[in-house]
Amino acid sequence: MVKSPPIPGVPGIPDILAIATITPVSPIAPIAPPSAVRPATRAAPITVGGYYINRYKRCGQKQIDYGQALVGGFTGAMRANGHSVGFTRADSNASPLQWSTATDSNAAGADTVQFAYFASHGGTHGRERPGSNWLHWFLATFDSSDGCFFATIQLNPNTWQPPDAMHPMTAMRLGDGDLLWAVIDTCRSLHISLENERDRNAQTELAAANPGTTWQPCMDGVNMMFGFTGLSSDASWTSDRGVSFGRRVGKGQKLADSWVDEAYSHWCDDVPVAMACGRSEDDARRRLKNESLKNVAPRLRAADIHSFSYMWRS
Amino acid sequence: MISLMFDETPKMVARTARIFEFRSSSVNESVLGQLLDRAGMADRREAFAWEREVNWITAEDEQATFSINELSGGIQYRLRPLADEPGTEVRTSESRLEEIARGFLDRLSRPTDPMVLERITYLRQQTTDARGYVTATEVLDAGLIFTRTLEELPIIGPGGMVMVNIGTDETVVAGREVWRPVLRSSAKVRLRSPEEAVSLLERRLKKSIGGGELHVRKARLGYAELGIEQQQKHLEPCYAFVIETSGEFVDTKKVEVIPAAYVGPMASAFAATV
Repeated sequence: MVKSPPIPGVPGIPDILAIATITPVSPIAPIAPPSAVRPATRAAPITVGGYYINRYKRCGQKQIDYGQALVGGFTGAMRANGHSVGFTRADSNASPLQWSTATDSNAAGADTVQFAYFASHGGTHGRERPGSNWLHWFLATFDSSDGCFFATIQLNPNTWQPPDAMHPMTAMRLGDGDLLWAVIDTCRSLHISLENERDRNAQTELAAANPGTTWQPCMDGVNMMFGFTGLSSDASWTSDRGVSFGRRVGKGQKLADSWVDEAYSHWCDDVPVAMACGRSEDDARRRLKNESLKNVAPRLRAADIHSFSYMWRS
Repeated sequence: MISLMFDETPKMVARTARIFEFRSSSVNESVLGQLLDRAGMADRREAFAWEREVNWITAEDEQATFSINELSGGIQYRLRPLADEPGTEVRTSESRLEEIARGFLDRLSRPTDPMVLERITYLRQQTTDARGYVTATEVLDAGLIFTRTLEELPIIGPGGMVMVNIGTDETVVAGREVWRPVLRSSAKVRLRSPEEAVSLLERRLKKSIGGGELHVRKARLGYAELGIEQQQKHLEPCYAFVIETSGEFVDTKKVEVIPAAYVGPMASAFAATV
C-alpha cells in the first residue's frame, strides 16, 4: 500500500493511505503572455456610502451576522478601484433619517453619495384596496433612537401600517441630491409577484407586487436600484456578494449584469433583481442593460419617469 | 426554546467520506490568454486591455470580459453584451441547451471532472409603466448550472459549479466556473449521523438566535466548496441547512454548516463555536 504524506492542517489523520492517483486536472499548457498589453480604461471616480445593522438592541429584530461583510466588501472593493468612501454607518448610528425625504441630504444621508449600499432586514408588504387594487410598500429595519424602520411610504410608527391606504404619502425621495444607484440588500426589497416566494401569506399579499410600482414614489433622480425577490440569505456562503459586486461595478462593468451574477445563489435560492427607470419602456430597458460607471445614463427626475424595467434569474 | 420544522431532513448518504486536498491555484495571464483563444477570441486578443488587481486577472474589450481569480482559480466571462441580445425568448430545448453548454466547455477544456446538469435558470426581464401595467416577461438567456459529486457525496455551497449562459440565438454569451481541482485525499473518516448533526444545529441556533419557530427549507450532506473569491485548501464533508424565520414584519434566511467529520479543519473550527 502506498502511503502519502499527511495533509497539513488536518488533525487526527496523521498517516493517510493514498487512494488512486488523481490525474492532473488542468490540461492547459502555458503559452506566451499577450504581446500587446494595454491598461483598462477606468470609470470616473464616485463617492459611495454604506449602512448596515447587525446588532439590534433597541428595536427587537433578529441579529444579522454578515451585514458588515456585505457593506465593507462593497465599499472596500470600490475604494480599491479608485472610488472614495464617504461614510459607513453601522447599527445604532444608521438612522432612518438618513433616507427620509427631508433629511437625506444631511451629513451621512443617502443622497449625499452617488452609490449607497444598505444591508439589514426588510420586506415588501401589501394591502388590498377596493377593486383588488393593491398598495405595496417596502420597509427596512433600523436600530436607531430616530426610529426602527424606513419605508417607501409613510407608516404609523406603532403599527407599521399605512394610516390611509387610499392616500399613501411618499416618505423617501431618492436622487434629488447626489444618489444615482442604491443596493437595498434585504429580503424582498425589489419583490416580483410570486417569484422565489414560498410563504403562503406573502404569496397572497405580494401576488400583484412589482418593484416598479413599489418604488415609484421614491424614484426622483436615482437611476437604478438593486435588491432581491423573496428571501436573501445572511450567510458566510453568500457574504462575498458585496465585494464581488463592488469589484465589477467599480471597474465599470455593467451594473445590472454584475448584480444579477454576483448576488445569485443557486444553493441558497437567492434571486437578485436589478431595476432601472426610464422615460419610456424602451428607454428603461436600454438603461437596464447598458448602464455602468463608465456609461452613466442622464438623471431622470420623478416627472420624467414613465417606466421601470427589471431583470432577475430564476 | 427552538422549534425546528423540516421541509426536508438530511439523509445519511454515506457513513464515511474522505477529506480532499485541493491543488493550489496557479493561474496567470498565459492561462487566461489560452482560455480566450479557446473561447474563440484569439483574433481579438491584441485589442484586449489587461489588468491584474486584488487577486483577479481580467482581459476585456468593449464587447467581452474574461476574468480569472488567483485564489480560487475560478473564472467568469461575458462574451457578448446583454444589450446585443437579438431576441426576447429562448426557444431552444433543454437537451439542446445542454449539448451546446457541454460542447462549449469541451472547447475550453474545463472542467475535466464529470459533471451533472443540476438546474436550468433563465434571465428574465419585465417592464412596468407608472400605472402598474406589466409587460410580458422576456427571457434573455438560459443559464445552465452543472455540479459534481465526489465519490458518493455532492459538492454543495457557492463553489463546485459551472454556469454557462446561452443566448436567444444559441450562442454562449457568458459563464462562470468555481471548480477547484482535487490533488489528493485522506483515508475515509467516519461521519456524524443526521440526528447528531441536527442536535448540534439546535445547540448552535439556541446560542445565536435564542428561540422561536424555524423552518428548515433545505438539509443536505455534501462537500462544501467555497465561492469564487475564496482560497480553499481542503474539501470536507458537512451538513448544510437553509433556515428561514418568519417575523411580524420581516423574515430571515440563514445557512448553517455543521461539519460531518469529527476531524479536519472544519471540525476544529466548529468545536470552538459550540
